[in-house]
Amino acid sequence: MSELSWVAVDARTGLIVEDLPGLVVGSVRQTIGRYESATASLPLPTAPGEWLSATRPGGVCMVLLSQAVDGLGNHVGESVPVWGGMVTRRPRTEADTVEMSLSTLEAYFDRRYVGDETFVGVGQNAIVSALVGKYAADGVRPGIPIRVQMSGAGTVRDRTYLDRDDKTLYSVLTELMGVDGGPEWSVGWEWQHNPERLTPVLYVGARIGRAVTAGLAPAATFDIPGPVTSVVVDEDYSSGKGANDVMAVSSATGDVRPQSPRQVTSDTSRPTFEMRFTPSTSITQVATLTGHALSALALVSEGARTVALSAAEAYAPKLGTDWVIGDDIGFAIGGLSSPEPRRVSSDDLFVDTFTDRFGASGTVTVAPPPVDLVPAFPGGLSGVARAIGFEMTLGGVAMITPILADVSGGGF
Amino acid sequence: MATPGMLGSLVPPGEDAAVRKMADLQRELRELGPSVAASFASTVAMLQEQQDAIAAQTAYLASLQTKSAIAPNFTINPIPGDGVDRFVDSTAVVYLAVPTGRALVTVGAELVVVRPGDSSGEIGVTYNITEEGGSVPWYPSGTRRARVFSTFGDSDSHSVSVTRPVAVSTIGVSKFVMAFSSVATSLTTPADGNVFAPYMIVQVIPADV
Repeated sequence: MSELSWVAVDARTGLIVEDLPGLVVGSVRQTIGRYESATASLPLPTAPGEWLSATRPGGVCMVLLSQAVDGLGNHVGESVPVWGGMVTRRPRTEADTVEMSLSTLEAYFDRRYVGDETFVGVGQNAIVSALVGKYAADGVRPGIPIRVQMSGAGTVRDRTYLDRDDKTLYSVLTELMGVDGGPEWSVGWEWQHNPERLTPVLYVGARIGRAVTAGLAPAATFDIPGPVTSVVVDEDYSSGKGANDVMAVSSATGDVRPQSPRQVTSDTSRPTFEMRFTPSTSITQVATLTGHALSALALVSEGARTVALSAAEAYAPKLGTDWVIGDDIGFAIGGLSSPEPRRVSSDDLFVDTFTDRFGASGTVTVAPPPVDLVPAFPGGLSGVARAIGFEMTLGGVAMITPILADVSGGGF
Repeated sequence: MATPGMLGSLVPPGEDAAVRKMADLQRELRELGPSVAASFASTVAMLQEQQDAIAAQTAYLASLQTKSAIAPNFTINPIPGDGVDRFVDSTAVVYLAVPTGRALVTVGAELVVVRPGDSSGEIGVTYNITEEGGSVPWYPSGTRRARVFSTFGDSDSHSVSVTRPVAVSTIGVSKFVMAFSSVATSLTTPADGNVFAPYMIVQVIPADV
């Protein structure tokens, strides 16, 4: 079991401003490599006295803590921050609640601009670390107390950024992530002590989260029937989601527009669906564009295929403990039931005997055909997929919904 | 920028899809501005080069402007055979702005007729060009002459012209003056002559010509 609670922390220092047990947030989401938004409401009659400073837009982050408890209700271990978002808006009315808009800290990256920077032969993770350290972290200019955790320097890249290009840190990191083999990144939260603080940490690497070890079960599995109460398998081949002929193009320089060669899947079972996109403006190297096209083709050639499994947070594998964003997660949906064999009875309703053609009497059982536990998935659906994000619904019974994506192309 | 093929793009659209799309478009639009400006930089530079070239050509063409003047016909009589140049009171004047400081002056006449007074000696009609307004009006300095001669008593006629470069020291409007003179030598009997349609052409020339 676990308890969820909210605290407000100073955006610049991570110091706890207030506990906000009354904060009401409908749901929160987190996704690799992009920001998510949420709305919150704080009932003022039960709010702490310093609620104004604890909800200051741009100055405070709301962090959701998950505290494990034992059967007696005692706290077990340290709470785990599972989500955090900066207050971006706080409209106040005559009502006795104060509403707020929250955005995960990836959104802060979209509020900072990258200046003139040149990286030649620098690992991609190191590039991300340097940029975040210079343009988001607290330093010469006020920033956020973010720490970068990376797995080595990563694949060597060349990148040049110009102040005049008006690219935000978010835009630059998104472009880097979009290249073939580019660095994945996501902002999480961690405790720091002496003094007690909750600070953001940027996880970056060619892959964040843990891959399942061959021959072993994934660290966490969501199944239905089981803790999962609802499931949505979404297969999307609409525009922007599915294509089998992909080209990455840049903005033009004079009458020349750099573009990648067409990247085409070998699967010809679908008619041609073309996709052209601009991963970033001002890309001049065709090789970079080709990297983007290859990366995109790998994800869109079979369309976007995701599994969203909703389970009661209290009984599901624990986010932040059993699994984190980026992990390989197991899932099992439905399958065939094995009903108990039932006996065939005679016309005599009071006995389970019948008389065979030879005049002998006896009983017999028959096994009815198996039935699908979840009819929409004949025979069931199971496998392992990456948790590219999650949604946590907090109203009433807290529900956790990992968003699993088929990024291997194997299909569901 | 809304990039397809990103892990985040695989997430089914939620309630915030429209807001996110708008934010992505705003970001894309903002980044396109500098990008478009940069993409036009070479075009703008090319246009600037062309404009500079056109301006240079315009200046060059302006430098090639020409003005001309025609003086009245006149008679020279007598032309003593004493070998002395005598200027004739018939001149042509051209005013011309010379921006480059150099000009090409051509002076001539459609027809010059000389009639010797006796059967020996030689006569000629010369003309001079001067420039007023400059301290160093000539290049090379000195009066330039073209002479048409008639010898041994027969009447003779020629069209004559001479072209000389002129360096104008004072940039601005210059006044070019043409004046004819006559000379004869070894004549006992004075000669005479006629100059028909004397003219002067002043052409501004670029410095590198």
